[in-house]
Amino acid sequence: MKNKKIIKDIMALEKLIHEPSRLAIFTILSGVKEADFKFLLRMSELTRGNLSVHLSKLEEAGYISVNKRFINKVPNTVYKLTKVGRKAFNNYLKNMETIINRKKTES
Amino acid sequence: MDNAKERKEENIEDLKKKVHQSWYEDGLFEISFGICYLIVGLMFVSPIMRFLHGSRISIVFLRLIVVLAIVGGSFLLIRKLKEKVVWNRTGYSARRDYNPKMVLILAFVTFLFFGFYILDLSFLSSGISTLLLGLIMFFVFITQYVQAGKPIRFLILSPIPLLVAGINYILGLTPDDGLFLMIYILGCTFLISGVIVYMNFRRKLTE
Repeated sequence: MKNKKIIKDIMALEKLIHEPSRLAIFTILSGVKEADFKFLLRMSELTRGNLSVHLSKLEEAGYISVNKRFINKVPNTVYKLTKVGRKAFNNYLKNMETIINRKKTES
Repeated sequence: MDNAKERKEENIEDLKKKVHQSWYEDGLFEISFGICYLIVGLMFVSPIMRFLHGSRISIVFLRLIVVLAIVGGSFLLIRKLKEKVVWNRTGYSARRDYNPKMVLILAFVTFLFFGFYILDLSFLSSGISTLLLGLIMFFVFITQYVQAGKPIRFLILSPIPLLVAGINYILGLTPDDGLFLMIYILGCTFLISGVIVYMNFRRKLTE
């Protein structure tokens, strides 16, 4: 019965955040006000293509906002967690903690 | 599995720490503070000090300016230096506006600062007031140590203000001379530490 509840909790986790690369992006962006592509690339250690794809998915979901600008005529893209994104990430962490605690008390 | 590049497995806490440390990894934090300390220290040998000398209120006013100039000036300088020197290589990131834990620590440090002014004015001898300043600076370093993701260099730097304050106390220096000595020693220490960290950081980046 308890196992069923845990499985239900796991199923309820936001899949868009649960993927390891995207979880890394969320973690990085939650620690800063905003960051550009190069910073995310360095911190996440993903490839350019991969990072780009994950960022597009998160932008589509409305979890991050994108601001394109020029610094000394060089294009620079800045990413920021939206309010919805920050709330979803906090909820994800809370749910994860609940699952872990439930499993701990069970065992 | 995603076709992601092989990346080191890091947990959320490690990654958070790495992001926090990224702000301090280049040594520009110490360089900016060092420069501001030395510039503010110049005030002590400028003619304005002779003009203000002797007035109790002017000393408090001067200390307030010292705190504001060091804190405000350093943060402006860090941003400018990062913009010119490192962001084109490491990527840009802006710190979060506030962090509840940091607000509490800052409130505590501010309380200590004002406590120091009031105690200094009312009860304490000049030697003990310098010791208190050393204690405050020690707390500032420890705060930075915790906030920056525990880089060991801040822990090494933290006893220096206490040491300088102790020397001031033993030598029986006046609050003005004590503050001057403290600012110059801390400024030079910051600058040297910052330059060493920056050189290492540049070497790592070019590797």
